[in-house]
Amino acid sequence: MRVLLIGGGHSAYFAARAIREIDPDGHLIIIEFTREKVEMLSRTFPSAEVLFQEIDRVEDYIKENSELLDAVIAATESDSLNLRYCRVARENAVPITVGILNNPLNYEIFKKEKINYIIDPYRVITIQLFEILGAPVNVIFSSLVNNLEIASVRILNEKLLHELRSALEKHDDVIAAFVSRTGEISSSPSSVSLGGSAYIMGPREKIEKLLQLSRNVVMR
Amino acid sequence: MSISVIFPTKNRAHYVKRAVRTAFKAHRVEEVIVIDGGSMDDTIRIAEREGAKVIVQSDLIYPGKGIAMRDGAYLASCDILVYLDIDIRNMTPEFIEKLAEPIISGQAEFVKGCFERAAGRVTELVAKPLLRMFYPELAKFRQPLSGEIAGLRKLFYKVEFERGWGVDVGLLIDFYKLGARIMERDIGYKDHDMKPLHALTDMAYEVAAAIMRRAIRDQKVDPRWAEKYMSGVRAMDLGLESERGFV
Amino acid sequence: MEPETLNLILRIVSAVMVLVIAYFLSKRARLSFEKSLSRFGTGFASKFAEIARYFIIFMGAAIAISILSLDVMAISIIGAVIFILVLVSMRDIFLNMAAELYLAIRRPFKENDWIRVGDVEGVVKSIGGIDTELITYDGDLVIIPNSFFLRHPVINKSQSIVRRIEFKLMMPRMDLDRVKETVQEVMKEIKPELLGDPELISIKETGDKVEVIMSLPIVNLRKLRWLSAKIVKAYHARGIDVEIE
Repeated sequence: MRVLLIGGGHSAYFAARAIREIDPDGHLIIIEFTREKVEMLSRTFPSAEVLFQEIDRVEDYIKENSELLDAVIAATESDSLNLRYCRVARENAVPITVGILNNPLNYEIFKKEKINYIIDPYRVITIQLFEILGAPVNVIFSSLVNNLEIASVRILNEKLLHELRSALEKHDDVIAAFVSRTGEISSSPSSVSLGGSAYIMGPREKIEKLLQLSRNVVMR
Repeated sequence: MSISVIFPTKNRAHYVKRAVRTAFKAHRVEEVIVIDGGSMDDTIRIAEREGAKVIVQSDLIYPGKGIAMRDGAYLASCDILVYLDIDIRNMTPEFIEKLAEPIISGQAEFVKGCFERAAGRVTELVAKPLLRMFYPELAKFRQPLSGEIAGLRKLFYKVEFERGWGVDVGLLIDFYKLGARIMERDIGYKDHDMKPLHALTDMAYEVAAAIMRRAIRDQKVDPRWAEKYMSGVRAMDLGLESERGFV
Repeated sequence: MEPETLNLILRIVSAVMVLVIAYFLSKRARLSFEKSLSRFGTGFASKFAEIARYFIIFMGAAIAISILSLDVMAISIIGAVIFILVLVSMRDIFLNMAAELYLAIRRPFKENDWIRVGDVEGVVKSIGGIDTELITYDGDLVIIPNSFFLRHPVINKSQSIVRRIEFKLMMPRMDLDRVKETVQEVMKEIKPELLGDPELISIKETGDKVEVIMSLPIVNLRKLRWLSAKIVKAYHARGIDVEIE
């Protein structure tokens, strides 16, 4: 497929590597604003088409090529630029528009612009620390493509375990794996005791409701 | 020609409503942008409610004024950009109109605002002496560090934004080197808090670094000597390491 | 001052105060409705909030009129008749508002989905308060009033980002091995524009022609016309005239 990647810094580098792995024969176009970086990108990604463009001209490029572009990925070092380019791509009906955030605080601002997919690379810090330091409730993964979420819940009391069990019995589309304090993994809630964890997976709204329920029980 | 007014700001909920409303009242202003530096108060909510475009600056570093200014320029869509401090207590639409007027009339492409207030210490003791040494043509500016500036948007995309306090003097030098017509415009009296003395050391350092970096790049100082003897002015900043890639 | 004059002044002042209170109350109510109904779409929320605002102003005016002891009944009847006439003339707009609410709650499609409704098929460019914009396969922009979606079923063809589109090529009769070879060469040429491998479904002789059916995994369906032209050009370069169906 034909992918336009805008940017030549840290995020763009990893995005380009990922695109090459997913679609090695595809047409990857990288746009950068400084000639030194264009040279460097051409050396690093010899099979990509690396273009020098002025900041203002990128929007024109997107508009002129919107019929052929399958995806636009904005990965510059400025969230302002990423927002601008994603907005133009969306307005010109490019099927996949991805904005990679530099500042996670801009997530809601990007969401308001109805950008298809917003990647927050710093989310991983929260998730991993939550898990390592034993947060009671933690959203581990939320799919951008499907309505799927995976979360972990620490079993801190009997009431919580009981609530989780009844909730799981009620919803066929939510599945769980239980990890005991000693690290044994099982699909049965009876195998886990206090101090263990439940990893639940299912439709986002149901998982969010289960997490809210868990938080309420934990806070009581 | 239309105008975008840009306010870099952080924790200024008290000022934002009045500033945004005042900006919209100025002639030709079509958008007001608030670049937030990670406010913990209601700055963002109030700015959005008043119709400003809001974005949080891409890098939450201190001081990140330059990043905020850069992000503001990148988000703007009008022909002329006007930057103002959001906490000017006596702000009126005329501040904006006076800054933009020389650009609209074709007299200038970059305008530095100057105002009546007590002489800035960093300006008089650091910026002006260094400018006199390395860029004597710019030494005539009364307030080279003024954050009240206006310019053609397309020219802002050709210059470098220093990340911190050196951004204002850096822009002045870069616009000068671009060959832009620069003018200083008196915008009257500015009612604004001045920083306490102990807060000025970092500011002075960054201003000096911004001027020195450019002087070194322009070969007014020997780059090798600078790299060897000037700590903080690293080779990368001098553009000596352009060969460096991702690996 | 005479008591009647004083009474009149008091009533005028009260009426003015009621109008002012109604004005500010209507503004607060508008903001409140906009915020609480925003989950149904900002366009719908703002329109409903505007209607609520005018209703409060109308009530304020009615109260002010009654304070001034004017003939409330007659004015109310005239007002109601005007209101009904306005409603009737704006029924299409209200229908569109109802459709907007339906689209916001039911969400039969979202922006960038490929849909078919009635005779129109295309990519959803934007969903507005009154209408929805589609871009068709030919690149035409079609603006559909939202009320259209209340009367016609919507087929949402967007199951995943990749859609497999079948291309039927007709070319002059020739050796089938050569046909297969050229098909594979052309598929290799167009592969960078696809997400996944193109598939040769069938090759068969029909009369004096050869029919080739390929399946191409495409992300941007607006690319179809360009791809068709590229395939035709690739065959021309090999000295073969093809038609695409």
